[in-house]
Amino acid sequence: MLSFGDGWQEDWDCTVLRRDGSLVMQGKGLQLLHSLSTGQVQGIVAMRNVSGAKPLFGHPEVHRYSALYDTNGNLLEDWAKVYYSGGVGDLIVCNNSNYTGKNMSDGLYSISKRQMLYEGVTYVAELGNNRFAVMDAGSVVGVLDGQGREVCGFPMQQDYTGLTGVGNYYASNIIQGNSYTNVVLNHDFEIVMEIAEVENITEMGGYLVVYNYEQQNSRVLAMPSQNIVYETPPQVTVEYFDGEIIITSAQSNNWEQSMATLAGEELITGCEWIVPTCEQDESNAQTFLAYQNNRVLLLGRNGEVLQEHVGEFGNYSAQYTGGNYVVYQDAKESKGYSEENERNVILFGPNLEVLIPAGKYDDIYLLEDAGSTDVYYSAMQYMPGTTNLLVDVYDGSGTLLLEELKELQQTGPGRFVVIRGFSGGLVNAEGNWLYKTSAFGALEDE
Amino acid sequence: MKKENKVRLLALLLGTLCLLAACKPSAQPGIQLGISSTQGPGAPVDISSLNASNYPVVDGSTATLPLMAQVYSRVCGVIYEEAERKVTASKTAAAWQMLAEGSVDLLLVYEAPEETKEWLQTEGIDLEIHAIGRDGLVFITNEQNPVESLTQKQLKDIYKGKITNWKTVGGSNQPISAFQRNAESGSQSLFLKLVMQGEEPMEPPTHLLVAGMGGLIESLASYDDSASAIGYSVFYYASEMYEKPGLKFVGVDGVLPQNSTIADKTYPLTNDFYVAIRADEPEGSPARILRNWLLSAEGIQALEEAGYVSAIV
Repeated sequence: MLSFGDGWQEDWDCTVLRRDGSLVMQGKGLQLLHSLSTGQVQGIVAMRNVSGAKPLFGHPEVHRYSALYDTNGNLLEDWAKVYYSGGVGDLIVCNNSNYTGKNMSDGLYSISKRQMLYEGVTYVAELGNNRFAVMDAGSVVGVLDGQGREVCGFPMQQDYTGLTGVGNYYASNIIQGNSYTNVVLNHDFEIVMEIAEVENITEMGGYLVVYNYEQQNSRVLAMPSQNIVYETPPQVTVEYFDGEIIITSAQSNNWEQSMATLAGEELITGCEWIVPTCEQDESNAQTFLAYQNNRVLLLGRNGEVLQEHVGEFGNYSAQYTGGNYVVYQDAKESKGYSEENERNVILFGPNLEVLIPAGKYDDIYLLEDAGSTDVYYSAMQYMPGTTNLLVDVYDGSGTLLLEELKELQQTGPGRFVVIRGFSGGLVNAEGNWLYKTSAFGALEDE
Repeated sequence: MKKENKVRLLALLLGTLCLLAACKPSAQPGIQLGISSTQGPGAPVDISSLNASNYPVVDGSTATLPLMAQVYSRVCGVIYEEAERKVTASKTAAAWQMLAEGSVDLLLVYEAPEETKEWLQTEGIDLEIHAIGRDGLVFITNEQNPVESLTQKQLKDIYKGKITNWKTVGGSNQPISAFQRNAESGSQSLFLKLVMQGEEPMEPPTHLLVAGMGGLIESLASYDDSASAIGYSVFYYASEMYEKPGLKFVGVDGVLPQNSTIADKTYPLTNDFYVAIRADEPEGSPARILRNWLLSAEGIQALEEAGYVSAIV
């Protein structure tokens, strides 16, 4: 399900469509509610602002009213002074927007039961590993899984604040009276260890990396034993660790990056960057992309060069995304307006084959859609002399699917909400319109 | 035969209202850009040297986008749907500025806001501006509103806050919700020039100030007090580019806006729109060739085929 005209503007017409282009509903100020765990649409909300009589800083007080619909456009809850936002399972977050009187309270609302299940809840925060913290103004009320089932809490035994998920562990403060303690918790909210106030944690490959802001160094702990398996000197940061291979960057050496084995064998040094071939929250790379001495290198786990790409390059940065590498280089020639320095960007495939060459685009982004495993990239270029972007869409193998879009608002599996020329609507990956309307209803005018 | 009166912009900027009144009988206030007069179509222009690779960077107002596409399609020999994808509009105020700064080569554009004209004057930038088409400032209400026409004075009084109820102008007993546009919009420039004529409109409540022309039309059609709302746009945009069911045009001084009444100016609130290039554009440059073609009979035909009213007679 996709919404055309989503990205809410009060009183703008919006259209909610199914994948086949059939109409679910149309109305003013519609937005889709997406599940935080699956990205699937949980429901549809219609919103409008209504000015109240009571002056607020010299202007009429404005109240947000919302009405809630299911995914077939059937009304679940009529207009009320409330905000809705996505949750987990069939639970959505409901926030009372009427600060002067009771209307609907804060809480988690069950779409299937059509009733509030958890009162006093203000938002839901993703913790990772299919866990979601149910929060009330910064304090954890309980933890749900991605299906909306209770894992623990309701209420919690301790007052946890500042809770963040780091893989299999949480970092949190525990408030006891007037003091608080920084702790690391496991998924059962058992305290595993305490850390200093100047420390934070990340998890890499099942190991905890504790970074100390004061000393600007890191120590890598095996879990659950907490044995230190690696410790960096001051001003050296751990960028990647998978239990065997470690990538570090050294502030003293202009943040140059090095890759070594845990046993201390240097695999490569003096790189501007080294990017592991794995998703950002994973540590299972089989290859690495590195930039060293004007060469982009594809490396194996022993540091051997599998492929290389040579060219006249400036300062690079790179990321592994969607199974390919997006690599930026300094542009030789300005191609249009950009808030940042003009950039040319290359899309390399997993074996360093050039999927999209440099010279055409100012930026390339992976089009992320939580409900899909399809890989699409939006490649953007500024129209000459203007601040307007034209967007092309490629698939994961670098095949051009859609070109010269003025807007690419939203994607679903094989579906794109676009403005192309003077028309807007829903197109498939072949560029065929499934739903088409005038683009000028959503364009700001002169 | 075309008679061009090419005068540098600064020489033509009229510094005082007295001078304005002496040269132009219209009581319209504000800075006048140096607009070259055009009598009849220009001579045929060979555009065979223009193609997609050397086509000038064209910009302008949203309401001229279909004209930009029509011209690109005709000149570069591509189908109209492809041409739609090649054109863009930075909107009126920004487009004038971008031409002056040299980032675009040619404008198809509505009249600049006063602040932009002042900036152009201060910077001393030479432009060659020709009236190419004519449009009308139109007032739009919900079709439930029984009022069919308003006088210019009534419109001014509504926007000055002197008339606040529709019953005063022959409508039902409902307060008037008068929408305005943001200051940078071409419609707002026309509104201030043609309706307010130098007088300040009332300060609109925030929710009655609409940034986008599409947004304005949506608001009128959907506003909770829909029958009480009034707003404005330009005729071409409202009638050709975004026709919204449930709305109607209000006549002004008893005349409804139509291409014919805009062409012969019996509809009182009309204004020309322009083709503009920088004066230092070299002879034989793509922008100058395209400008000359737009002023020729072929260019006028392209404009009229796109549904616009030509200002060249």
